[in-house]
Amino acid sequence: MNQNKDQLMMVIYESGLAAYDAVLFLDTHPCSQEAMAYYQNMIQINQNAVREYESLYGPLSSDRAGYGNKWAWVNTSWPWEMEGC
Amino acid sequence: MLDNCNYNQPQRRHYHRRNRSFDTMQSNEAMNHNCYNQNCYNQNSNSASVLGGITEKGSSFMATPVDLNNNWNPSGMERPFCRRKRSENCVFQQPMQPAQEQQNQDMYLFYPTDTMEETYSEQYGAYDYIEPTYEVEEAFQYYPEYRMEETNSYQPEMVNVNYEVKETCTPYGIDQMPVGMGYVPCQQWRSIYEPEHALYVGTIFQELDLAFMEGGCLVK
Repeated sequence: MNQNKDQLMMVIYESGLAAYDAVLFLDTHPCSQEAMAYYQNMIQINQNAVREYESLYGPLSSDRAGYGNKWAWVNTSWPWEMEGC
Repeated sequence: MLDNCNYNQPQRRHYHRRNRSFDTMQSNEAMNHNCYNQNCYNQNSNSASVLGGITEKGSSFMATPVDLNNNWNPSGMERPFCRRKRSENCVFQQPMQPAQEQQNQDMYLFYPTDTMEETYSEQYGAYDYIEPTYEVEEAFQYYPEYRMEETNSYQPEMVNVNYEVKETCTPYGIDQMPVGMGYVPCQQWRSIYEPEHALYVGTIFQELDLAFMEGGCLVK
C-alpha cells in the first residue's frame, strides 16, 4: 500500500490516538474483549504505518534513528521547518 | 472553638414571631443548640427543659442574638445561658463583620430559661423586649398561614435560585444548592468513532464527545 507522506502521517496520528484512547478505556475495563481487539488492531495499523513512513521518509523518533552507520535523525525536517510540522 | 458536641443532629426550625417568619437553625447555630442541650443547659440549669418550646413565662426567656448567616453570637458575646467558661466546651465566639452588625442588631431568638435571666442581666445588662421562640409545628397551630413558607426566611431567594438552576443548568448559586451525592456512570464500549473523526474531535468515544461550554452540563 503506497501512500504519500501526509496520508501516512495522518494514519499514524489517527491510529495512535485511537490506540491511546483504547488504553485509557482498558485501564478501567481490563477485561473488555472489544476494547482489547480494537487496541490490537489500532496498534497494528500504527506500527505498520510508522514502519512504512520511516522506510520512506526517515525516523519519526530519535530512538529509531540510530540504525546503520549514520545518525538519521538529522536527515528529516526539524519542527521549525514547515515540512516537519 | 472546638467542643465535643454532636454536630450531626437534625436542625431545628423556629418560628420568629416578631419577624413573622421561620428560622432555620444551621451550622454554628445548630451546633450551639446541640451543645446547649448536651453540655450546658441540662447540666447547669434547673429551668425549663424544652428548648425553644412555647412558654408564656415572660421573664423566663433569654435573649440571644442570631445573625443573617446563622452564625452564632454576632455581637461577639458569649452564649449567655451557658455558664461554662470560654475555655470549656460549648462557649465560643464568632467574629462578625461590621456591615452585619447593624443588620443583625434587632434579630434575636429567645430561649426559655428560668435561672439564666439573672445571669444574663448581670453580664450583659437588662433587656426590655422579650418574645418567645416557637417550635415550627407548634407555631403552625397559631399561624397556619405560614405553613407554606417552609424556606429559610432570611434567604427567601434560595427557592427561586434552585428552580432557575434546574431550568437553565447554570452553575451560579452552586453554594446555595442542596448537598447531595454525585454519581459517574461506568463507561461502556459503544459508539466508537472512526479514527479519522476521532482525531478531529479528540476521542474515539461518541459519548465523551461533549461540548465544554461555560456553564457545563450541555451535551453535544
